[in-house]
Amino acid sequence: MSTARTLRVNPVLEREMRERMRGPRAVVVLTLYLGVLVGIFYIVFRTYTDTRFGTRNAVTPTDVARIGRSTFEWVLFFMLLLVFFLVPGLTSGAVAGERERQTLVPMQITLLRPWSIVFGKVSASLSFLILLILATTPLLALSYLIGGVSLAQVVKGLFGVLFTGLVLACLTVACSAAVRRTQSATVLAYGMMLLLTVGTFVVYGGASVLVALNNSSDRAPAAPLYLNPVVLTSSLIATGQDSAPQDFGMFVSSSRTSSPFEGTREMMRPRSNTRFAAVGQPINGGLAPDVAFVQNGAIAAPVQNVQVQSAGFDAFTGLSLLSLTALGLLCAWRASRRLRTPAEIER
Amino acid sequence: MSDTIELLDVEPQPEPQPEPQPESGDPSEAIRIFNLTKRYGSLVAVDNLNLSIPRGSVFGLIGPNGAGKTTTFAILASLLTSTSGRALVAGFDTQTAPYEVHQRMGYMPDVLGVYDNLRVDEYLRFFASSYRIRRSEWPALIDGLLELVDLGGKRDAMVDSLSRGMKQRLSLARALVHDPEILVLDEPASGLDPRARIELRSLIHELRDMGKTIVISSHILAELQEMCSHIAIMEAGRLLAAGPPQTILDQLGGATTIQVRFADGTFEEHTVADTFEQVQLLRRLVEEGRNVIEFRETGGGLEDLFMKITEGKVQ
Repeated sequence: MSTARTLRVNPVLEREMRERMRGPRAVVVLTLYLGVLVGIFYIVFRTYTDTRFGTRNAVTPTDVARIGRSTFEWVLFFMLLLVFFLVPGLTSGAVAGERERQTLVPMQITLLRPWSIVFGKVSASLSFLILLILATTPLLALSYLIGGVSLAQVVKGLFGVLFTGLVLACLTVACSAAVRRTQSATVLAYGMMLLLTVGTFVVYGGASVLVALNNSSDRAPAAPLYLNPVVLTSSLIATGQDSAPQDFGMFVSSSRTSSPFEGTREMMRPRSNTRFAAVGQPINGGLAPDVAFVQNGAIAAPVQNVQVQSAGFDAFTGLSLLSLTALGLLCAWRASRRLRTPAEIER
Repeated sequence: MSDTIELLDVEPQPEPQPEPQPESGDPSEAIRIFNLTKRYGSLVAVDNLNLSIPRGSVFGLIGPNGAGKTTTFAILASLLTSTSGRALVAGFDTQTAPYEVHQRMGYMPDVLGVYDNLRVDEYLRFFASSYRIRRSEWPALIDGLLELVDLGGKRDAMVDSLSRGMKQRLSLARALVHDPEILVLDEPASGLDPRARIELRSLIHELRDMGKTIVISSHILAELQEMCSHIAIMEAGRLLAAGPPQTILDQLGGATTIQVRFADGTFEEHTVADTFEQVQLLRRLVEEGRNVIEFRETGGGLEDLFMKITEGKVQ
């Protein structure tokens, strides 16, 4: 018995989950979320089948792979968008809401440590997100079934969304702990979210302009984009060496599918380097291989029967994961600093 | 059972660890406040407060709004830092050992914060869990607490649906979850109807009989006078008087006016200097064969004293 340990669920997590799942809100949010994603899937699917199959007699496996890849990327992109809007909205009341309801003091005078409260709040937010993501899995499995996307990419994509949600949850809890009112916390959290998503692009764009003005052929440094969850997710699902053709589900993917992540790929590429674009080798030789040699973002020459090379995104992915983890930890630390007792609180 | 699971805190079995030792050597004091000052900018909320609260006492802190009672309580509960001075609760410094203080003190703030979406038993379970009480002990603990605060029938009710008096009692049960030796109640009677007040009073008597030290602030002075073994009067952050109510009355109150009503409907007013004279007066009236049907203090009580020694200063 001396080595036995009793498992104790974080009290805040347990209470939050009870509160969250009671009442209609969770069901409504889940339904709307799935409704939007199914709608997106259907629209993308119809668009591709209409344009690709309507004009040709023969449907190649590559065509089918494009459909699978597109539905996957679009659904994943909208999952990210929904996470951007849902997480701050559902989490901004974490601490500020407790202050408003006068429930923070009774909680602070217990033996709960500030980090335990923050952990409970973030994990409550995350557990709801896990439910949403699990609910989306069948939709992404459908993309996998159609082809053009590997199982590893589906898992990585879902991880990207979950990781984004985790960072946003930490950020929102920090905003919520920093201000007194939920309303201000919501505004602050959405502001920070926009800073991460749009702001980093703007900074990168500005840097690109400066680089161009210096008549340099170099690409602007990608550092601001390390903090951009969209770019991170894009790099996670990029087709690289680790997602070799044999993983590609039924069919081979193409680099020429219309993708919501298209723009981000160029930014992540190493500067003025000749690299292979995201490519795959046909499983059944003879089917049109969508392999291209890419230089400075432009297709230089189509090449056939090449081995798939790393797209060079790995360093970016690693640095991005590291930067966002650091941001999340910083936010969690700030939030628990605000909750510590005895505190210098305003009257 | 597996060792760790993500998202779960793992609570180790208590290992033989040296008990944290309190700083103060005086075991007869539940709370000791030394030269406590709290400033908010230019505003002095608590001004050089010195106070000793004996163990097992029911201690009433009296003062107008803004006198610094809530600030003092917040410092005692380790929720606020003081600008200077220090406070010991059960011998532990509120600033350097907040969790030792939390472990030994139940605090009921003047505002009732409740979660809308929880049932009464879930509400108490959350706090039992937050005070690291073993899950196996919860059912008996919660039954006992609900019984004590007379909410046994409301176990499955939503917290939000309770009346104010019930919420107040639930809040008290919450403050008692970890069986603290010291209980600090900030304005527990405010907003309660007379019946709920009487129930609260008997509950406090019950807790006193359980050996707890109870610190209570209230505006209902007559009630405090009856309930408290010690009182302190505060105004504008300063302590004006402290001690057993009768001692303070005797020292500061001066003469007490007694109104006597007789069976024939006539009234008489007498002035007495202290309780001894008061007893003598009643004995004399009865010995004289007067038909006394009412004998009460009209002045000189806590309210009169309070009016006399405070100046109506509010911060």
